[in-house]
Amino acid sequence: MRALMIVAALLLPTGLAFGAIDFSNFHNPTQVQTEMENLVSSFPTLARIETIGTSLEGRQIKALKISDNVSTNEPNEGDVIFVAAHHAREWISVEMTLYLAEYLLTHYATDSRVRADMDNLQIWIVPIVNPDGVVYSWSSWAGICPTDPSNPRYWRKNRRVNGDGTFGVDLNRNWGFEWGLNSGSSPNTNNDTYRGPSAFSEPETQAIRNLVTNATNLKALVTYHSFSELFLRPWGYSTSDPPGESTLKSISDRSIAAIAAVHGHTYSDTIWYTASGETTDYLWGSKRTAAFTPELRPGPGGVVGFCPPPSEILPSNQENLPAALALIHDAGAREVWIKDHPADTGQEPSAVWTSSGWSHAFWESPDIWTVPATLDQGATVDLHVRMHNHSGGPVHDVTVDVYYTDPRISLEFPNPNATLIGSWTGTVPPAGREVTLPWSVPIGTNSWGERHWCVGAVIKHANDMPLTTEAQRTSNVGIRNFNTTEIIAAGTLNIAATNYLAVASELLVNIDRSSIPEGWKVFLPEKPIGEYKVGGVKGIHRKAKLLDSKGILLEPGETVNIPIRVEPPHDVDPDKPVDIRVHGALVPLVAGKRDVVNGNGYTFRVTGRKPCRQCEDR
Amino acid sequence: MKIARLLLCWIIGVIFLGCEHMAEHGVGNAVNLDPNDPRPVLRISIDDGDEIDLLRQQLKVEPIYVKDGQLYLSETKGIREKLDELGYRPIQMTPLDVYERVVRIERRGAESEMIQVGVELINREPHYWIVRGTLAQLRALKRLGYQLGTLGPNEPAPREVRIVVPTTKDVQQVNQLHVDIYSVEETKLGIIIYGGAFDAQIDELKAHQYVVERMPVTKQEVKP
Ligand SMILES: [Zn+2]
Repeated sequence: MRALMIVAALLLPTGLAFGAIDFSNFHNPTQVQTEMENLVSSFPTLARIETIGTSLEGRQIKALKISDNVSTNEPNEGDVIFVAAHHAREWISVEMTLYLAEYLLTHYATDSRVRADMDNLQIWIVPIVNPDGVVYSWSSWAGICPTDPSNPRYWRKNRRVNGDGTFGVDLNRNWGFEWGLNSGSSPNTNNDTYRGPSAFSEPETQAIRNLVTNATNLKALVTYHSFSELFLRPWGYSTSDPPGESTLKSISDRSIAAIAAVHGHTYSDTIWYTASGETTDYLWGSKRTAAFTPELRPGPGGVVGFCPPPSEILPSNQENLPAALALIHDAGAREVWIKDHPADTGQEPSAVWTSSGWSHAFWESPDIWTVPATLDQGATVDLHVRMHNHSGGPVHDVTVDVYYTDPRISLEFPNPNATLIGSWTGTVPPAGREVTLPWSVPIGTNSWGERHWCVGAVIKHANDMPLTTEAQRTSNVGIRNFNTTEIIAAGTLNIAATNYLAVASELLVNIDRSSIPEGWKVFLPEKPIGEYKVGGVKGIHRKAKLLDSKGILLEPGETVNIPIRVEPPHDVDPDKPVDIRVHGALVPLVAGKRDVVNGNGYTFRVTGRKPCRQCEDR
Repeated sequence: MKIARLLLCWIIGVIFLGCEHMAEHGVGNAVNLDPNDPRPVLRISIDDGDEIDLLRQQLKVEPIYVKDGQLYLSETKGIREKLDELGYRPIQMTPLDVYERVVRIERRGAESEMIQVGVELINREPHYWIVRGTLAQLRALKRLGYQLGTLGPNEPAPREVRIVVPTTKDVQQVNQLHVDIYSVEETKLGIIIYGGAFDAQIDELKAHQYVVERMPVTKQEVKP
């Protein structure tokens, strides 16, 4: 008996081969569940099924988590989410997610790149966001595509009982960013774009939102739909470009090219109409997480496009796979990077998108410094930039551009007012590389009369695409004040903060007291901060009251100037400058988990002077 | 006397048969025109979806729907005071003017006459109209003698339409009429939009001078 058991154990599959899932026909919801279970039993250490919510009719919404150490949450790893079937009739979208899951799991052992990405990431695949709708869409299926759009096969929404005789909410109009615009969704329950009674009113959208907010380090989300062969990016609600458009477009362009390379189908990136309350807008608008909506096969046409021949499934899957893998690789790769701050391990995204699409910088990088450390105007100094390499091998063709800027004009790199100090292109070995450039320290003061400049470095490299953000989100680092601000008896340091998120937010400002010696007094303003504001709208105050927020309230794009009062001690030593570090963070005024979005900080090097005759004469 | 009785039975029989005949071509099951919820209804002004989301989360507000920047909600215990405290000015509404139904209305007389009570036409079916109305409006129709019935399965049924428009701006115009757009394609003939629309939307599309082609529902369905 024992011998028999051993033989049986040896015969157990140690892994499914790619191609084991049959894509010659559509999988109904039960079959989808079976395929997910098969993947988990074939790859128990790499895949597991998690229930992320329950639909209105009580069906479980399932996610397949794919990662090394799959049963543990690894917050340092990036997360990528793929979902399908927000819309019930779009069966082909479900197939793509199964195909992707099978590809990843069956290639872990043999493909070093897939393996590295799965080791670096937690990949979440939700084949059916809308189980009630999908079950309804399958309910009368007899193997023939109807031409009547009222046939259940073409059901789009979930199955909410709206209470007025109609059914369903369009789950892709129910997300909470710019929800409720009549231009991109309908207030009428009978319409197929009915947005629901409120944002996130539906348990199905809540489930995906919770997956998004519980992901500890979300890098990207893809939501598959059908049809008409498009690759869409934010905004959905508006025809204008979002912040970070160039980055989103670069990912989109690359994805479209990758899709076209497989079977020659060139997906378009334009639809000419708006959709409000849709998934990718929430991701980008509220979270600054890149998100895309591929509309799969077939090409444009009538309602039967939702019911393509099963022979379209495999080519649709095949052509969309490389784009998905590239996005995953982007999210997983950490090759060349610079520390934002001394504790930066290169794991987490840090700085975030600005309205112009450039990155906000952090000002405490230990990887940018000058020799000598104390600067004189007009002097030429050596500017050092240190790059780290996580790839395991040499990385060639890395370019680093180093700029200085007037921090009172812009805190972003690069920006139109930034001055290029120099560029370097070369190979970064596994141990990292230090680059030295000569810099002639500017003469005179910045626009606020301070001798205060910031230096930032921007890395460009093909393997550090925008999503890894080493290039555009993490590596854009600054350096502290060079020349000191002199404060006689008492003075004011002015900082400005902008809400670069697209939602109303609370600004939190912290002064790092650890760097301030005893005797020095540093105060945030006592006046209500609103008095320093440029503008303000009423609704934001109600939201703040609902959340009992005590911070500074900022509308999207709004800037606040904050004067910080500094009083050196009476016996201050003018030869001992003091670093005053101020840091800001934004907390969006939204429901659910409120992720704190770290902003940039300032470091002022301040020299205190006694109020003496000589000082006043200076 | 016997004859009279027989005649009465016969008349009753005719009436009975007549009623059955009505039901066959008629409007189906009776509609409940009582408010969905016995609780009073309040209305407040809101800014956006985030605010509703916050109201739901923080105050456990129960939204009924949002229209034109106004949130309609059920009056739960203490909610009015809490809203007052936060600077909202809740206005009490008549539930009959808030709750709506989408129903069948017996086709009788002119459509223009029927919609005078304020209901919104959705579809024209051979024997009935499908309309959306508040309970108050639908009660008024009932008082006027119209028969009301609940929707049948898959109703209201969208019609598949093909609209050829000259510019990309027109695509957004069509979208704003809440047509369920299936696909959009730029061709030499113009931009072809396929979508699902109800009869009232088709009317509106035509009022905007768009050429709307209603696609036939074929008997021979397409083999996938
Ligand atoms: Zn869709």
